[in-house]
Amino acid sequence: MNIKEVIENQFKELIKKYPSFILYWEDDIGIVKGELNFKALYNGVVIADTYTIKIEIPSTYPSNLPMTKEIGGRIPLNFHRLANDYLCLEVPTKMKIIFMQNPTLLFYVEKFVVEYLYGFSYKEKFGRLPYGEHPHGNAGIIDFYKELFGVTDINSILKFLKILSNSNYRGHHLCPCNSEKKLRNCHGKTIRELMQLDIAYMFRFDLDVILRSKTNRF
Amino acid sequence: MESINKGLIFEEIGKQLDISPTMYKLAVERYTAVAEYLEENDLKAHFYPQGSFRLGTVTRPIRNGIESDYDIDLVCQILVDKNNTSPSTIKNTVGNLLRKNKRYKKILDEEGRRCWTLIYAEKDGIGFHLDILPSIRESIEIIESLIKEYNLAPRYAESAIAITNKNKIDNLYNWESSNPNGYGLWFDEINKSFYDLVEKSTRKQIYENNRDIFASIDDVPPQLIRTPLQRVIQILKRHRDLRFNGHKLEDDKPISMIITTLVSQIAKNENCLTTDIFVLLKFIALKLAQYAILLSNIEISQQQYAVIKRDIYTGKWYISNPVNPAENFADRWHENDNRKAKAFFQWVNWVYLDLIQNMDKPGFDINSLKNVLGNNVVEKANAKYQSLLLQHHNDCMQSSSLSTVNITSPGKPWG
Ligand SMILES: [Zn+2]
Repeated sequence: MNIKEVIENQFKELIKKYPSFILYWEDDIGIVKGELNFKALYNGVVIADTYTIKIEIPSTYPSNLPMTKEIGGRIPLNFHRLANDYLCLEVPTKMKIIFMQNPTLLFYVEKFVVEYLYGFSYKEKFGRLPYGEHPHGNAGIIDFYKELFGVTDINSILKFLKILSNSNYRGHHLCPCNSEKKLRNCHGKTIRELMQLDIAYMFRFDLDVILRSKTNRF
Repeated sequence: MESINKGLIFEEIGKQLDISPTMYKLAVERYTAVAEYLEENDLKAHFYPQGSFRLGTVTRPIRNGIESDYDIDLVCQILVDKNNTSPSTIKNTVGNLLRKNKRYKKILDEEGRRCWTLIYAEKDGIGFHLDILPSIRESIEIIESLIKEYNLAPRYAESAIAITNKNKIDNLYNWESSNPNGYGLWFDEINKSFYDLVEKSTRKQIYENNRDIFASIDDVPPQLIRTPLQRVIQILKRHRDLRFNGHKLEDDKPISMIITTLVSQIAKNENCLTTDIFVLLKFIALKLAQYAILLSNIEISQQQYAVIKRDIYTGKWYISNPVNPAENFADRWHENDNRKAKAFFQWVNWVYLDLIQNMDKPGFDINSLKNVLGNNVVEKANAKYQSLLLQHHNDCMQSSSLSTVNITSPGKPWG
């Protein structure tokens, strides 16, 4: 099956639940456009809402994730957005890790887009975000790795990222988390699982970003 | 917040414009009877429907502002070689046989340019105009030239036919070329991806609403299953009929063949897929509107896949027949200061205002469609839509968490 067929089949699954979408192609990029009519529940609060969105699916999908824009003019520019108006649904590496559990359009829409839009609708209603937000930029990336490894020390994060970006796992070395244990008896399982995702380039990217922000700061 | 399901409204409107399953069955019975009668009288021929009846885009016609009889087009392809006959023989063989029959003689209209028309008045006031098109297989030379000179795919070219044309001035007959079967095949190929999407659910729905005429789900003929593509064409044709009714540009309104071809060609080029009729209509209307620039700027770069083209030197317009590249549907668009082209783009703009912008605005009122799609049709469609909403509402009450996304370990927006 070529990638267009993969996307078409995933689109068919998507419109069974969210029928107001159209799929078409701009060169090799698949475009899914239309109204996302959702009902979502978090902590006992149900929100039903409608947004007009445009999802762009790259020809490198599913290795590279789709990108989404809100095109109905509801979400202001200062709410989490990237360059070119794409919505910042999550830290990219985290998104990728989650997406690879179930790399389908329906999962992408419900896990990332609906969650994001639920958050925005919630904020419109109650004046605050329901589940917090990552700080903008590098601090947000560091935040994510603090959560991922359960550490607070930035040097530990850098050491973990070095291992991951070089796929250089040594079980008998001391674990970077300062536990004084060997890696294989400490964070070893987490690291090995992350290495299996085959996204060393994403860890290298994050490592560079954090290193650059460090040099700038000191 | 209950938002209006525009796709569903259009589905209901489409059903009102369409021929009902009962009327469809009756129409098939009527033309099968004619075919059997002609065969019994030693006419060796194939009979098959063409036009909107064949394409599944039947739209209740408007004549002088009122809804009138359905048009059904039947090809009568006589099995004789083009070298051994003449257009007048072909036309009059059929005409004479029809006149020989008492029943058909009574309902036979005066001779048309290409067809013989039988006018059936049915009991509940809605009748048929059955246009019978006498024809023969096109000559081998013409079929080969379509393939070799015009690069037409053989699967289309092979079904080309020669039809007869009676000249108004001298009453002489001549041959013309046509290809309704090839066009149907071309359309089916584009329609297929939409058909596959909706076939199962639509078939079930038709069966459940017409248990009196179908014995089982499989009994529902594929010809009754309508895709979003077919619905868009039906809605556009009706919108055209009403918008141009009594307008100074009425005689220049776009012909159904142009609407059907452009909509299908865009769906084909863009390879688009959706089950939502409103979403598809919007997508196609916006694509059509992009061509309006050709009115003022001929020299705009025209891509290979443009569905409407203009000659930079002569200013002539081109919309080619997909199964006969030599035929230009827009061959008269440049006449009278581009009058037909202007009428077309005026209409595209009306489509945008009446159907897209109007329906996209908050507080859209379904009744506002009555002027442009028909009082009766919108009234009935709205009643159906409301009852569907009620039913849907009741279904949802029974299983309230059906479509709710449960957010368990939420991510955090970033950036
Ligand atoms: Zn550790």
